Amino acid sequence: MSDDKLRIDFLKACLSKLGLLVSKEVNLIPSLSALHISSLHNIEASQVFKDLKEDMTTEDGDDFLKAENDTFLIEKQDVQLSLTSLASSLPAISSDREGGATADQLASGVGDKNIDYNKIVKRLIFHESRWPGSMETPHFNHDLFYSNLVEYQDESGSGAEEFGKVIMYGEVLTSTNTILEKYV
Amino acid sequence: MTDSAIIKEPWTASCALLVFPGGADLGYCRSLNGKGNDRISQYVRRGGAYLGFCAGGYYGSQKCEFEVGDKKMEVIGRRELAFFPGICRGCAFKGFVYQSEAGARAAEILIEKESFGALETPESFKSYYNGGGVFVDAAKYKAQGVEILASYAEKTDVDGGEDGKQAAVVYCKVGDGCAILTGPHPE
Repeated sequence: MSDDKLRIDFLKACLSKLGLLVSKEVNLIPSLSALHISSLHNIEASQVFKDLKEDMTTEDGDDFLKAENDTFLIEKQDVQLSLTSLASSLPAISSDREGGATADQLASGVGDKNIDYNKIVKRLIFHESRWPGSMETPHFNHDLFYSNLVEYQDESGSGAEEFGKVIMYGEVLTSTNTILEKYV
Repeated sequence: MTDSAIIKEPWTASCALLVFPGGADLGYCRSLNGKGNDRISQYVRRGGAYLGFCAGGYYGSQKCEFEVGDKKMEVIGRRELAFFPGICRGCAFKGFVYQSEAGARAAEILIEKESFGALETPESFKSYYNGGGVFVDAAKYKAQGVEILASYAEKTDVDGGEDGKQAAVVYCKVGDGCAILTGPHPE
């Protein structure tokens, strides 16, 4: 529908008028990335994994965590992805995508506007031996985060022993409202 | 965002745009009147941006006049945010039924290119419409920083004001920030 482009152009102009920076790209929905759980001493991430293990189910050799709204495919860093599980959960895969054991982002559903993000399986990667590196999370420097955290904790009086020790990072998410348990 | 998040959590510092979608503005009033609106208002005045679609448009105006005369659906009242310093009156086009597409249509919207200055915009487009309002006498508030961004091409079922302009989308300067309110759903 040609009107759709006109509508989008109007919306872009409105957003610019509000002072926002509007991207020139036509395809606006970025692909979902994986969620990375890491922790300051790595052992805490292992503990989170252990705590969640009893809620996990196993299908075809893969571990899944089925929550109220989202289903997560559990992965451990450096372990080969199960491509079958991923393939069955993706809306559309471009044919020239590299086989991505290290690729962080799933193929974007560019051709399909009506993706139900609730149904897409989200990758949840546990980092139990080292923090994610720049290949895995190019937009977030875990080394820098944790070194700053240690500095902050060392500051006397900061009282920040628990804060930031375990983090879950995702470059492109659906909604933290549905992924995270609000009242814990 | 949940209403308690708006009231309690520190979102204002890193928020580029606060969007209020369609639905029913009474719901917004119920949970956000008082503390919630104080925070939203302050956020916008200090340089933030608000974008209200349909119900969000009524909610961001000084007064909401919805389906006046229909005892079942009528909603009339002042609104705290008052980013648009006038009345948002609806439905621009009759037939609205909550949670239904009964009154929905593709409304022709004419864009006020002047209001966008150097920004490129089309002349007009068709927008999904369902229950939104007209910003009454929007042209009168120019001195207060209100600009009409678009108007309804077809004659609306409610009175859009004295000058005959039927403002469908308005831009309002609010302190150091700004708001855009819409009647139709360009999103």
